[in-house]
This record gives sequence, C-alpha cells and structure tokens, in this order.
Amino acid sequence: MRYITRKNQPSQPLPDEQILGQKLDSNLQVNMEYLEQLLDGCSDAVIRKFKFGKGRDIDAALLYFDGLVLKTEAEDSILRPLMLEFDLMENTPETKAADMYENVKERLLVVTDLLECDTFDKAVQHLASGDAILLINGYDRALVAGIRSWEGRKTESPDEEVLIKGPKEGFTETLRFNTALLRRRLKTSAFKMEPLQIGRLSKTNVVMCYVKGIAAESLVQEVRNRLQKIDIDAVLDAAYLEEIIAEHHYSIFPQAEHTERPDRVVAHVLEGRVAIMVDGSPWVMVVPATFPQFWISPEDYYMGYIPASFIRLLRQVAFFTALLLPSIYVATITYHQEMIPTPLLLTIASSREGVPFPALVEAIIMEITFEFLREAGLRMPRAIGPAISIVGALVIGDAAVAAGLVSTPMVVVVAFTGIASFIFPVYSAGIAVRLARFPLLAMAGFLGYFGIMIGLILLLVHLASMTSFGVPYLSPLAPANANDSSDVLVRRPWWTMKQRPRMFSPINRVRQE
Amino acid sequence: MLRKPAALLLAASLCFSAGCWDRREVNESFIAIAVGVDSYPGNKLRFTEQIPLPIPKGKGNTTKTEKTVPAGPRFVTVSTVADTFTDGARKAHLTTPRSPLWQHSACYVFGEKFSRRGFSGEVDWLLRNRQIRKIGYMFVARNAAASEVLNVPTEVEKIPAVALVSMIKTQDTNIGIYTPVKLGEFLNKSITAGIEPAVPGVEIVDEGGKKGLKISGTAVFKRAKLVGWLNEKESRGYRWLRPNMITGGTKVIKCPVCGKPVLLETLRSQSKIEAKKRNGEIIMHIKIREEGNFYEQRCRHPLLTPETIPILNREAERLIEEQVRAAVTRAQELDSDIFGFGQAVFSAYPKEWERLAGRWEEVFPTIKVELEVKSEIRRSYLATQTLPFRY
Repeated sequence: MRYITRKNQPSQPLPDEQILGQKLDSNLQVNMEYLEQLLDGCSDAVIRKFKFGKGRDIDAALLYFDGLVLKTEAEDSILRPLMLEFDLMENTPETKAADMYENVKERLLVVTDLLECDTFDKAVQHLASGDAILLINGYDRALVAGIRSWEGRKTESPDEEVLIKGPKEGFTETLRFNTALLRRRLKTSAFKMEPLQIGRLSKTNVVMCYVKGIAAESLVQEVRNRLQKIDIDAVLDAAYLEEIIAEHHYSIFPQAEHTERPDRVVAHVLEGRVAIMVDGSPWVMVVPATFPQFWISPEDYYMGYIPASFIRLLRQVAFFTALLLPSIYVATITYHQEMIPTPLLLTIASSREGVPFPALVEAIIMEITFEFLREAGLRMPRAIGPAISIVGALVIGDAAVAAGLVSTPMVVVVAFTGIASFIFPVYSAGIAVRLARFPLLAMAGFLGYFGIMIGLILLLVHLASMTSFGVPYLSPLAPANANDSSDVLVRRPWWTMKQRPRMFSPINRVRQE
Repeated sequence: MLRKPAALLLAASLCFSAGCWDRREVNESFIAIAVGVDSYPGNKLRFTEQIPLPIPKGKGNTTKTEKTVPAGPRFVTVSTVADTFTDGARKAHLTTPRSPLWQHSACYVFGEKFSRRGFSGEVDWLLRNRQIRKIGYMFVARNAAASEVLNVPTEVEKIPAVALVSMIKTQDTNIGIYTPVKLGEFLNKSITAGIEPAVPGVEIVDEGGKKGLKISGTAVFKRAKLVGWLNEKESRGYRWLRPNMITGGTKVIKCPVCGKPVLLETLRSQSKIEAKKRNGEIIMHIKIREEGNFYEQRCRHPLLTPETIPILNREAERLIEEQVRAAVTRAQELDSDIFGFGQAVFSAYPKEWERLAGRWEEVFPTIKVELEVKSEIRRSYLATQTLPFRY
C-alpha cells in the first residue's frame, strides 16, 4: 500500500524551477549570476564574456554547449562582427538612431537563423538544443543564434530492413536529416511536418508528417491530440510513443509500423497515414497500422508484380508456418496419428524411440532453446557470433538428438519454424508471431487439432476486435474491401492501382487518372 | 480483485485435470499394421496382429549416414486366443508392452476356416471401433490360417502387410487379375441384399524352404460364408464387371495369322450391368467398353494395319466375353451373386425384385447373361510394326 500512496504524491519541483520561471534582467551581471547558477556542474557549457562597441565598453556574453555548435561559425559570424568589424558599420543617421540591440541584430550578426527570447526557461532550452545565446548588457532579451551542428551518424543503408532492390538510404538519429530525407522524396508544400515537443526533461522534438489533402483531417487531429496528451519525462525512441498512444495496451501485436526507410514512410504517407518522427531515433513510426500490412515489404513495389506476388504469398505461408507448424506437429503425433502416412509414422516412431519426454515437452524445450539462441545471437558482440552458431548447430542439431533428448523430426520442425519466422519484413510482427506460437503449442498439446482451432479462433477474435486509430486491425481483409485487399494478398500491378486504399479514408482517393 | 486471474487459472487447470485422455505418444504405442482372424476350436477366435518394428537409429554422428539395417524380420506377430476381437486385442497386452494404434491397419486377413464358418455377427468390432478405418484391404488366407500368413516374412518390402497391400494394388494396374477390396466395401456388400462380396486370396508359397506370400484366387462369399474360389481366369472375368472404372491390366490374345500370343494392355474399361426383360424373362444385359494399347507380339506378322486392327479388337472382345462368362458360370455354380445382379434387378424393376428377393438364390443360377463388349486399340507405343527380322 505504501507504493500506492507514494505514487499519488505531488511531483517535487525541480530545484532550478525558481530561476527558470523568471524573465531576463537588463543587467548582464544579474543574468550571468543566474545562468552560472543554472549551468553549475554542466562542464560542457561554454560562457564567453567579451566587450564590444565603439569604445569596446559594452559588456556581452556568448553562451553555448560545446559540441553542439560549430565553433568556427560562432567565431566568424558572432564574435568577429562584434569585436572586430563593429567599426565598419557605417555611421548613418539610421544606425545612429537605432538602438544598439537593433544594430547588433539587424546589421551585425551574420547568422541566418536568429531568434529572440526573454526568459531563462527559453534561454536554457535553446542552449540545450544547440543554439548559441548572446546576452548584451542593458537589454532584457537574448539573441538566439541557430548555429547548431554536431557529429551524427551518416546516412547508411538500413540494417534491419534489408532490400535487394530499392533505395539504400536509411534514417539516422538526427531529426533534421530525417525530415530532409522525406522532403527530398515529396517535393510539395502539401507535405506537412508539424513540430511538437514531448518529454518534460528530454524536450524531444517530434515531427508529425502527413500530406494535407490526402490524410483524413480527423486522423491527423486524433494523432495530434494523443501526442499532445503525453506526459512523460523523456522520449528516447518512437516506440515509447507507440505504447502510450496505441488503443490496445494488452495486445502482443504491433499497433504502429516502425521503419528505417524513408521510401516506406513516403509510400505510407501517400496512402493517407501519419508518420511520427522522433529526434534521436532512426525509427519512424507510422499510424494507423493494420495487420495485413506486416507481410508487405517495400521491395514488393520495386520488382515485377508477378514475382512480388509470389514472394508475398510465400510470406503468408511462412506466417502460418511460424505460427502453427510446431502445434500441428505435436497435435498430429499425439492425437491424430491417422493423419500421417504409415511409412512416415514408422520413421517418426523410430526416431522418437527412447526420447523420454512427451512430444509437447520436447517441442517446448526445443522452441525455448531456439529462442535462447536467437536472442543470444542478437545481443552478443559480433566477434563471437560464429561461436554461437557452432554451438547452436552442434548442440541443438546433433548432440541433443544423439543423446536421445529430442527426436530428429522435432529438430526439423523447429528449424523450419525458425526460418519461417525470419521472413517477416516487419520485425515486431515476427516477435508477435513467435510469442503467439507458445499458447497455441500448449493448446495443441492438451487438446489436439481441437485446441489449435480454439486457439486460432481466439486469436482471430482478438485481431478482429482491435482497431488502430479507428481503422479495424484486420482491414482490408475484414471488413472486406475488394479494392484494398487486392493489393494485400498479392501485389497488384501499378497500372491498375488507380485509387488509394480506402481503409485510411483518404480525402483524395485518386492516385492516377 | 483477484477473481479474474483466479478464474483464468482454474480454466487453464482444466486442461490438465481432464487427463488428456486422448493423448497417445507414438513411442508408447505400436502400429497394428495388419489384423488377422482365425477360428479356434471351442467357438473361440485366434486374433493376430502384425507389428512393424521401429528401425533403430544409427549411432549419434549424423554426418556419417551409415544406416545399419538390422538382419532378420522387421516385424513381430502377436497371436492370442480369445472369445471376441476386443478380448483378443486386449489379451495381446499380456505379451506386448505397448498399446496399439489401429488407424494404420492396412490389411485384414480372414483365415479360410474362419471364413467358411461364417463371419456374420462376428465383425462388430471392426465397425464399432472408431480407430479402425474402413480403408484397409481385405484378404482371405487360402489353405492357411491368417496367423500363419501374417507370420511369413517378405523380402523386398520388409513388412508383410505393406507388401500385401502393395501387391494387390500394383497387380491391379499392371496385370489386372484380382480386384482389391477395402474393408468398408466388403462389410457393405456382405449386408446388402442382391450382392455378395468376393475377396482376393493370399496363400503361402514354399520355394526351396523359403516361404513367401502370393495372391491367389478370389474367395466368393455367400451369406457371410466362404463358399468357393474363383481361379485366375474367372477372377479376371469378375474384374471386368466391377462397377467403377478399371485402369490397367493385360489381355493375351492370339495372332490372327499364326496363333502366337499377342499382348494388349487395357487403358480403361467401364462396365454396366442392366436388368432387362426378354419375353417376360429377366436377363442381364452387360455392356463393357474397353480401350487399350497394343503392347507386345511374339510373331513377325504386321498386325497394326487397318485391316488387322479390327480383327485384333474382335479377338480381345471375344477374350473378355469368355472370361466374363467363365466368372458368371462359376458364380452361378456357387450360387453367389458377386456381380450385384440382384441390385440391377432392384434398380430396373423394383416391384419384380420384391417378388424375387426371397428366392433370389433359386433365380440367380438361372439368370441369362447378354454381353455387349466393345474393345478398341488406341496406340502402340514407339513402334507401328515389329522389327523386320529376315529369318
């Protein structure tokens, strides 16, 4: 009970909040005192006090966080004009009449991105986002110079969503690069990027992208509302947001599509969906997500529609294989032996000879071992990767069978299932299937095909009852829509795709005349 | 607050407490691949089941795929003496450590004595046991007991039951003498009025001390009792009259020029038995449409000319007719309506059948048969004429 009461306690104000609420003072001395107090312990903060003006008598200070701004830029476009080139400013009546602050802002600083701010709160925020702050004695405002520039990862080809054909660019951690990647692909002002800031401490920049005139107004409004309602201290990845804004918190199925590929985002946005980009994460989230979308890869659209359709059908088979194969195997050999041809049953019987566990336990052991291997392979340092595969192949494939702990057909089944589960173009959908497999396996072990059927029906009911931002999760298969679903099970040829999918109720439905 | 999880937990525990009554691990069971029944003195049964042995795994290292096929038979046969089928099957537990899976029984063998004694009423178990599928093949052990037949090791196919099923199926498409009969069909025919079952026989051959199995003769049943056997020629005749389409089989006719054998192959053949009335008397009108290929000749005469092909066709028709007549005559001798003439009467003249059904056994031997056979040669494989030998 103690935890519950503690939870309800009002949040403690942060220590600096007193200062942050205040306005900037016109006295530089006062401002500097406060700022130094705020930046106490921030070893990366740079405070440069200097004098400028005709008689070099005006006190000023330049503040920035080291590493976030381009130093040469700060020197060339702020310090040099003020300290060295001040005299070059012509002495016209206009400049004489103008205030010193005006002169600095309009005539001296060589910075494109120049803003003002008048509170400590704003000043610190700008500082932390990588802007430089210029304070001049006698003025209760600060000049904010946007000269941010930091070391970031270069655009690389995405690691997780590998394609043979198609663009090789992937998103990086820097929001600006990412928006640029998208803008380059959609050269229209109708492509909107609405800024938001989420996170009490992180103040993470989040951008909501959609195409005005295609995305339904209600959808955009709904996404905006849900994003604005978020109250969290930090957002480190788009996945944080998915969990908060999704409708079904208890489902194992992904309710937003995450992608590293700009081409994929653009394709989705053109269908009337909304993309959410988070600064610091190369993963872009697209909502609403529907289940059938998870077996679609962008590559399907970069190759001929006949091979693409074949591969898409292959993925659907793989989906059911990954979900059901172990269950079907266990149910068949423990309940429905008549389904197996006699010679095969004899082979299975011989290979199960001496295996001490029931088929269900055997299957669970093998499946869990495989999950161990997969997770280990994912997390371990690259250098010892081959070691794991050797151990996996030898221990699981051979030694376990030789030791009589498991039967060979089970190894084949587990290996097959494992391969099938890697086929999904969307990683999180693969995880959901991996997870759903276990309850189905248990049902198969206890009730045979009957159990598998019950499990499948429950799964289907669950999927059919879900919605993602108001769009039924199984659409366009259920509710059925002939126009949309023709591009889900197989890939529709481009020349027949005259309309955008209706499931996201786009305003403009026409894709081509 | 805890109600929901508790309810879920209880529901989940149902899975365990139900005891999984239907669960069967394959390594805790054996496959009863063949079932045999014999009569036993004292109104008892001798129940026999054939169990294939699992192939023992080779030693651990799978990189070297050395499969050591063990010597000796790959099956065991368990026989018990009991009051009923089930009793016999359960008594087998006294000698075998595992319990049987009946779903895979591929063949059922009735001993000749048991068949002669009659099986009416005795096969309840075959129908009632839900594990027994009605698609296994029926055999009658000729001059032997089923327990003996199921004990004979076979060579090429190591498990005799599999060998038997394979033999009856391949002979049907390749030489076409005997008609395979499945358990369901057999049981159906034996309880239907106006038709009787006939089942291929299997006998033990002894070649130089080495025993083997051979399919031989067709056992003719009447009133659920074995009454006699059809020989090879009669069995062929019986096969021509089978209601479903025949695919495969051979016919050996004589060369119209020299009388040496010529072999024709049957591609497909369809028969139709119709009851008709001629001068107030019921007769059977049988139509057979057969087509096939010219397969082999032993003489040098050019047989595939427009003049000779019709002659060959007539020869084939005569051969088929001869075989059918032989079968009908034999069946009439045995007074067992294996062709379903009664059924034909029933469908053509239901009123008449009502009158005849009671004394069909008296009528059947007197029924006259009218045959209309049409046979045609379609192709002759790679050659239109035989090799032109000069001598």
